[in-house]
Amino acid sequence: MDKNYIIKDIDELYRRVPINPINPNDNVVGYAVNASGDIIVRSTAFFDRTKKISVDLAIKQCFNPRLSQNDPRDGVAKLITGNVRRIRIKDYKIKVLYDPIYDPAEKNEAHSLIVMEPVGEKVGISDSAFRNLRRNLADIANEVGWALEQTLQ
Amino acid sequence: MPQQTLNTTHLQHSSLNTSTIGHVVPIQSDFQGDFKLVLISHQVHDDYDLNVHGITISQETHNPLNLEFHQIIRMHKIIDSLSDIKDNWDGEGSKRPTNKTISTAKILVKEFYIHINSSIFHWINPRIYNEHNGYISIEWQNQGRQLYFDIKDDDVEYTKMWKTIDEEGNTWRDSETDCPNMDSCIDLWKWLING
Repeated sequence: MDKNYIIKDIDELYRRVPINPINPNDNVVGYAVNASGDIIVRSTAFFDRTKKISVDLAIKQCFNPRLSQNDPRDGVAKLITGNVRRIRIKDYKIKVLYDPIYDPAEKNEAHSLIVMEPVGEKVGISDSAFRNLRRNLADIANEVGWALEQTLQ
Repeated sequence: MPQQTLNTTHLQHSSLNTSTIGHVVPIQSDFQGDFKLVLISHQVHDDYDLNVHGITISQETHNPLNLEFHQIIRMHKIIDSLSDIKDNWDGEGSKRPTNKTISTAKILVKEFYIHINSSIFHWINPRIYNEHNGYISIEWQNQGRQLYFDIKDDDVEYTKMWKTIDEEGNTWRDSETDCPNMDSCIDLWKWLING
């Protein structure tokens, strides 16, 4: 795929939701079990210190969410690009960018980024705005449904 | 049994009033967030000072006042449980919530609950959880609308999130963040319940 590929609104994105290796039933990392017993994605699943959220472009890995896992018990959340781009947060524009990694050590040609771009005079990304983005992403993921549901033990 | 005396300041900060005299009711015995259920034996002054004998657990769960405080105690237990979280719980270096954050969250849920419960609106139980960077979040969802309180130390902010669908059927997600005060909390709740 062309490294200048422009991600379309209909493109699907995968986000790995890691199992907690210490306690797989611990729900503090990226998922929770709701009152109906369903495993839901939490906003914490989209946290990143850099405030740039790594995702995989599904079409680039033949729609195989297992390629996004590190551990076979990891869940993989699914997002639709157009839904992500239609998140409106004051002072920011949400972008989805194709960002393939060619470094042999961590090669990932499906790698893409969800980023917040400050608009106007805004500088930097506040914790609060990033939290709003993550919450909206979790809402989208729960609306769309898992690409691969997390395995609870 | 320990003995405590409540004064009018306590009354202002609890749902206690003269109609509760003679009943087993829960009260807040201090303002650091801990609630205790107490047996009120008698009223000693007309200015609502009360003598309180002992601390006991009420069996009168049908008493609306008790139900009210059971809800608060339940939320306080969840908040207290967040203090057990270890630093770096997310593998990203996030700290556990501080004692101040825990305390602020407990006061907030209590005040908010009492405020809503004394209004015409019904209460919805929130999800309460730790967030990154030492925050505690309190979340309500109703009919596609979401309301959050995010707490860190003394700071509290709320976020309203909602969805709209355009003519082409696309869903847009919007949000609004600000600092809450108890005067505006009814408006926030009205928005959550009725839109």
